[in-house]
Amino acid sequence: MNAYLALFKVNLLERLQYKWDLFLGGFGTVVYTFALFHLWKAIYSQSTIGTFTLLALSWYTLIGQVLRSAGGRPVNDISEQIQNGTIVSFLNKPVQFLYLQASTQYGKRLFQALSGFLLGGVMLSFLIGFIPLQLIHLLPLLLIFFLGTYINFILGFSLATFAFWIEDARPIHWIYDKVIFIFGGFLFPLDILPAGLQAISSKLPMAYFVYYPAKLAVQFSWPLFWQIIGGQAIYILVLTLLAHYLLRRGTKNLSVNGG
Amino acid sequence: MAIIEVKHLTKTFQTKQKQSGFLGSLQSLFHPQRKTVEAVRDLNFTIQKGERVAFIGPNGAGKSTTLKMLTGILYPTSGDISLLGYTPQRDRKKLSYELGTVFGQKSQLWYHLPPMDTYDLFAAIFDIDKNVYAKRLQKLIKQFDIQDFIHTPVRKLSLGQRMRCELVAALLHQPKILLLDEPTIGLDILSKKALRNAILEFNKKEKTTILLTSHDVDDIENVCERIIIINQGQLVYDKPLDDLKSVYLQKKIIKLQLEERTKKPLKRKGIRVVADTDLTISYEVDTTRQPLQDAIKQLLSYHLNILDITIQEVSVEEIIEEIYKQK
Amino acid sequence: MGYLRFIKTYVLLNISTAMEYRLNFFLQSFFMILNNVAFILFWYFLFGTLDSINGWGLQDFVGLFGFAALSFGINAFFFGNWTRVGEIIVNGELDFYLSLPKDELSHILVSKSSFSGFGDMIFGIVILLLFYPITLTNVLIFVLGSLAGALIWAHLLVFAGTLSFWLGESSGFFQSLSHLTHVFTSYPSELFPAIIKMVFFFIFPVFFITNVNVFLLRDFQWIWVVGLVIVTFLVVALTRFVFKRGIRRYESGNLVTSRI
Repeated sequence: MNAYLALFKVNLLERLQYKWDLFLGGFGTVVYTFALFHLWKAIYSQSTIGTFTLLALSWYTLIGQVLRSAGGRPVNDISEQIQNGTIVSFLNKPVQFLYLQASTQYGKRLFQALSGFLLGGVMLSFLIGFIPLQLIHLLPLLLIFFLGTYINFILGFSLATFAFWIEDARPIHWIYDKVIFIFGGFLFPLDILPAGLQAISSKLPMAYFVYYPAKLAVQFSWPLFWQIIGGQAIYILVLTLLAHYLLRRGTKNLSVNGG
Repeated sequence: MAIIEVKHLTKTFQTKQKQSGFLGSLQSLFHPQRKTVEAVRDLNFTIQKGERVAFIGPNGAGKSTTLKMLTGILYPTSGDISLLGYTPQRDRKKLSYELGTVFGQKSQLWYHLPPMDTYDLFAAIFDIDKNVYAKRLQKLIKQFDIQDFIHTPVRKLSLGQRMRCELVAALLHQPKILLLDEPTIGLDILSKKALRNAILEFNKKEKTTILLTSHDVDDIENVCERIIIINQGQLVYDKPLDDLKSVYLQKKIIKLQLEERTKKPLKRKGIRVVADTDLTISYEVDTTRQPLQDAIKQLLSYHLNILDITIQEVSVEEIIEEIYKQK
Repeated sequence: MGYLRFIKTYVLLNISTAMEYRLNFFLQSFFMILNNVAFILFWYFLFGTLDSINGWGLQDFVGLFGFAALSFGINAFFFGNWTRVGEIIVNGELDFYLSLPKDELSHILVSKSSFSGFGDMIFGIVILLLFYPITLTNVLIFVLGSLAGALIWAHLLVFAGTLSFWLGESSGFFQSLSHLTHVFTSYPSELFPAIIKMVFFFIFPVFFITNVNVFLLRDFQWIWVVGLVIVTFLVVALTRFVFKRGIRRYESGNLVTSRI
C-alpha cells in the first residue's frame, strides 16, 4: 500500500514543478465551460434542456469537464507502457501493475482537475451564480466522483490491454474518447440525445463516470445517489475482474513472444 | 590560411535549481533560484585549411556548446568567432553552405525512407543544380561505397551503413569544413575502421577541414593530426598528436603473467605498479629514468616464474585522463 | 525558385512516408473522420428541437466546423510541426534547422506531416460541399478562406510556441492556447459578449480562422475579405518577427533544471 501512496505523491509533486502548468492545467476546462455556458445561455433564451435550469446545466458542464480531466488518458498512457516494454520492468516487482497505474493516473491529474474546478467555479459564480449544492452533500458526492473516475480508469485499463495483441492501440483511445463524448455525457447531458440512444447510453458504464456524477452535483437527491452508487459498484466489480483477467492473459502472451 | 579563428570565446547559461521535497517544490514555485553556469571560458584557437583536429573533453566540458557557437546556432556571451571570414551568428545561412555536420546521435536521414530521398531533399535545401547534384552524388556514393543500399529504407540499414550515408548527406553541398560529433558512436570495430578510412580518404582528396569530437581514442589517433582538449570550458591542451605521443609515449606498460604468486611487486626507480590482480601484474616504466632494457632485465630476474610477457604503449586515453588530472 | 523545389520535395517526401505506412495512414485518416462525425452528431442532436441559436442554424454551425476541420487538416498535413515549435525549441531540435540555409520557420513547418490531417481535410471538404450550394463564389470562399484560416491558426500557435525561447518549458501554456483556438473556432462569435468578441477578433484573432468565412457564406461583404487579408498578413508577419528575435536567445537544450 505504501508503494502506491508514494507513487501517488511523487506524481503529485512532479506536477508542482511546473508552476504555470498547475494554473494552466485547468485552463482548458475553463475555456470549454465558458464557450458552452454562452451556448446554453443562447439556447435557454428560447428553450430548455432536460430538467436542468441554466444554472444547473452550466455547473454540470464544468463538473463534466473536471471529471474528464481527473480521469486522464488511461488508454493512451497504459497502452504506451505495454507497447514500449516499460511494463516488463514492473512485472517482477512486488507491486500490482494495475494499482501502480491507478496511483500514477490520480497523482498526475488531481491538481489539474482541482485547478480546473477552482478557476471554472470562480468564473461561473461571476457569470451566473454559485453551484446549487448543500455542504452536507459534499462527502457523498466526492465518493461518487472517485468511483466514477475509477470506472473510467479501469475501463481504460481494460481497453489498453489490447495493446498486447494489436500493433497500434491509438485508434482504441480515439474511439473510447468519442464514446465518452457522445454517450458519457461529457460536454452536454444525455438529455439532448434522441430517446432511443438516451435509454441505451444511460445504462453504459461511461454514464456512471460523467453523466450521473455531474448530474448529482447539481441536482442532489438521495434516491439518485443510491442508484448511482449501485450502478458504479456493479461496473467496478465486473470491470476489475475483467482488467485482471486481460492483464494476466496479456502478460502470458508477452512471455510467449519472449518479451 | 586560418579557416577557423576563435578569440576569447565565453558562454554562460542560467540554470534553475530546486530543493528536494514538498517544501522545496513549493519554494521553487514562488522563488526559483537561478545559478549562472560558465559553459565556455575564454577559449582561443585557430585551425588551418585542411587540418584534421580532434576536439575533446569530458562530458559537460563545453564541447558541443563550442561547436554550436561555431555553426551559429548559439550566440556567444562574449568573444569573437570567424569561420572562412564569416561571423557565424550574423552570416549563419551563408555559412551553412560551407559547413557539413554529422551528429552520431542525431540522424539527418529520414528514418522511414531510403537515403536517396533525403539526398534529394538536401539538394533542394541547398539549391544544388540537378546536373551538378547527380554528378556529385555519384562520386560520393563511390567514395563511401553505399551503392548497394541507397534505395533501402534507413530503418533497415545497419548502423555502420547508416553512418556512411549520413556522411554523404553532410557532404552533398561540398562543405569546406566538416564537423563530426561522435561519428562512430555505437559502431562495431570493422564499421569504425571503414568509416575512419573513408573520412581520411575524403580529407586527402578534397582538403576538407575536419573538426571531430569523440570519446573513442582510436578515432582521434587514426583520423586526427592535432588535438585540442578542453575541460570545464577552458582550453587545457592544443598540440599536434605526435607531440602528445612523444611526451607521453616515453612510458611503457609491461604486463606479466605469472605461474604462481610468490612475491610482492617489485619496487625500483622509474617502475611503478599500475595493476595487480594475483597472477597478472602490470608495471609502468618511465623510460627517461629507467631504460626499458634494464627494466625488463630486472623484472625477469625478480619474478622467476613468468609465463608470458607483453609490452604496450600507454594508450592515448590514459594520456588524456592524465591531462585532465593535471589541470 | 529555390523555395518551390524545396517545398515540393518536402511534400513528396511526406507523402512517400505516408505511403510507406499505407495502412496506418488510411486508418488514421478514417478515425479522424469518425472523430469529426461525433461532433456533427452533437449539433444534429442539439438542433433536433431547435431551429436556430441567435440566428445561426445547423448549416452555420456545421459550416464553422467544416472550416475548422479543413484548416486544421491543411496545417496538420502540410505544416505538421505547427504544434511542436515550443517543443522543438526546448528539446534543442532547432539546431538542425539553424544549420541549414532555408528560412527556419518555414522549414520547421513543412518538415513534418500528420497523417490524420488528411482525414480532417477530406472531412472538411465533404461537409462544406454537402451543406452549401456549389457556386463559384462559395468554392472561392472554401478554398481561399480555409487557406487564410489555416495560416492564421498555424501562426497563432507558432507564436505561442515561440514564447518558449523566453519561458523555457511551457507546454502547459501552449496546450491551453491551442485548446482555446480549438474551442473558439467551433462556436459562432455571436454567442459571446462584446469584450470577448473584441479580444478574439482583434487581439488574438481566432474568430478570423473560421467565423469570418461563415459570415462570407451567409452574406458576402468585401469588408470581411479585406479584414481577413490584413489579419492574415499581420499575424504571419508578427509571428515571424518574434521568432527571429527568439533565435538570439536560443539555448539549444542547455537549460536544465538541476536538483540540489
